[in-house]
Amino acid sequence: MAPRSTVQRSREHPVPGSVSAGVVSLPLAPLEDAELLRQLGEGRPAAFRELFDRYARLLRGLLVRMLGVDSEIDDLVQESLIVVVKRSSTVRDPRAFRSFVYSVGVRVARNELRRRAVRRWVPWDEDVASVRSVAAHDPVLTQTVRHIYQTLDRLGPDLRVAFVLRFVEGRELTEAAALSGTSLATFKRRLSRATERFELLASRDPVLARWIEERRQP
Amino acid sequence: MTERLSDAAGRMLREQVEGEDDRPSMAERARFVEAAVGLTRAGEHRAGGRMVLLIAALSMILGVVAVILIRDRDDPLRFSVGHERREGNVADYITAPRSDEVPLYFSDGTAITLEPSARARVQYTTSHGATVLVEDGALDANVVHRGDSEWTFTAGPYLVHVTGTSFVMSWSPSAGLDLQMRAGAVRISGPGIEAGLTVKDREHFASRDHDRGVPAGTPEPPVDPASRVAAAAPPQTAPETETYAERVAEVAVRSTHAARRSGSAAVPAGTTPPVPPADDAPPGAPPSETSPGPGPAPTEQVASPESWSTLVARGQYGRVLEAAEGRGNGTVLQMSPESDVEALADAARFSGRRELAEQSLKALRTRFPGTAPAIGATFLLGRMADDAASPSAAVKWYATYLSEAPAGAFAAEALGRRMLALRRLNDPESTRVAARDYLARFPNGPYARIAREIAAP
Repeated sequence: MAPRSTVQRSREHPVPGSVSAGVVSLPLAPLEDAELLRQLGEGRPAAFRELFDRYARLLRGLLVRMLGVDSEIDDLVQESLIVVVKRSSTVRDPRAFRSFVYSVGVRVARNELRRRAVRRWVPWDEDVASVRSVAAHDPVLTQTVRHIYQTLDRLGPDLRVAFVLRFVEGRELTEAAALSGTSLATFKRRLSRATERFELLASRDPVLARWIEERRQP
Repeated sequence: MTERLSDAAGRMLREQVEGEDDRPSMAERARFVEAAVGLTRAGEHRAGGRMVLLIAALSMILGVVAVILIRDRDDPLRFSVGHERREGNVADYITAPRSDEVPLYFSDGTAITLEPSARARVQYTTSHGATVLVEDGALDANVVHRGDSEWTFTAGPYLVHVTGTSFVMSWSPSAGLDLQMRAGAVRISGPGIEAGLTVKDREHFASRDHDRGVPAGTPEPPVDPASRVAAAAPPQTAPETETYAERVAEVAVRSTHAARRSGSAAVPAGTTPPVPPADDAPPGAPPSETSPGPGPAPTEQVASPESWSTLVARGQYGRVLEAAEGRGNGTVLQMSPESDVEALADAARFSGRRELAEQSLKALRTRFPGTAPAIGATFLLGRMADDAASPSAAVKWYATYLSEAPAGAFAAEALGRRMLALRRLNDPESTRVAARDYLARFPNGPYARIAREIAAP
């Protein structure tokens, strides 16, 4: 799955002058992140701007795919970046900085899911499921997406993180296990349960059942 | 082959939940940078203002319980003034009349009695103690010992650090500092004893100018760096000490009796003009740079009893600068404890008060040589010179820092920056030497790449 992250990187932080930024920028990334890490350690405002420019979009995309679009996404991006700043001194290998940022986003998303699970004890918060997307002009697609998220909401934080990392983010099992902070065996077990439960719940959801039926039609 | 449902759902989310306005806004960028800058300055910052209702409710319940349990420990100490125990205010100027003592009772059980004519103020209190500025005269202190007690008495250029003890001390700009221990131990620092001197049991400390018996009314000589500790008592060996010890004993007895008396002649601020009697001051004594003046108006208050370092940690630099102005910047630089001077230096630096920052950093170096803040101040002076485009001054400060702390926390940074400052001075040979020095010590350091370029033949 490395090519996917390479493409994302080229979109977020293109190297000036490169024809194919996704390919050319990869060898330079460790050096750039090393310098960024050093400057973050010095608390330079310019480094914070650079961190935001490089990784805010990556984190936003991850959080949106994990949680759906809602009014709290911007706050969660901020929270993730603040955690990155606080813990940047723990990154020993600058080449791992990008993965580190990504794993922080995963942790923030999981914590948010846990908070939301608690919040549902109180009155149902409609915002949690209010998914907006580019397909907003297509009500059927929008509704399908919303129901997928509602189904994911019923998985529980750990299973949902496993599901999204594997099926939405397209991460390899070992990589996804590392990003979610679990052993490979635990991740596999969670993913198996998540898949089984998601497909069961989806088959019982009228909107998703219709979507499943349409997919089966030639 | 039909795509698995989970794969299809994942692909759907991947493709559909990508808004065209995914790019975070510039406002979000500015918000983050502000928060991150605050974080690095404050050490801790929480982004966002989201509240989770249930967690918040639980936290509140736990918080209330915790507050009830630890309120007394975390609140700054309170104190009362006079025999009738009127509520005392931090930074108020307190003068004891010529005919009576003024007791101060603190909420941790500590009692301090200002002897007749003494002038002092409680500069600030924390949950662990207080800092008391003795402007003139004698006091009798019984500091209650707790594991985390932190009491400081500032008297002219001297600081007396106390954790729990009983002693009598007096200070005047002309007569110097005298301190007679009754129990426990204190640590005194000041001119000539910057590293601190422990005085314990029944020992007696007198700064040398006092020992020389400088009479009141004569110009104050420069403070001799040497001070000494003498065992209290033996009259045949230390007559001045004996005289003082006798006075100490008398004061102690009077204090005991005074504590039983009712009524007060205390002069807490805001109730009576704090101007000391004209004949209270040593006649003819010149104004001393290291002693405070008569002090600010009696209504002067420190806005909060929080320590300056706490305020700096919260980014409230203005409050620190304001409080320092209230005390008098000169007084702070010459008399306040190390932590306050360090906090003032930070507040001034972060607020762009370059001159005050420099003065504060230099005061740290002068008053507390060899301490970590003083050594750090040397590096910061180099950074400030660097920022002010004064590479020659920067080179000197960095060199001083490296000589003081060759393996210090900023050694790599100082070496690297020194190299760059030398390059700005158009001194290629020295720059190359500096680059080689840097590479020898930090071959993988942040300046290694540029050092290699410079060192290359």
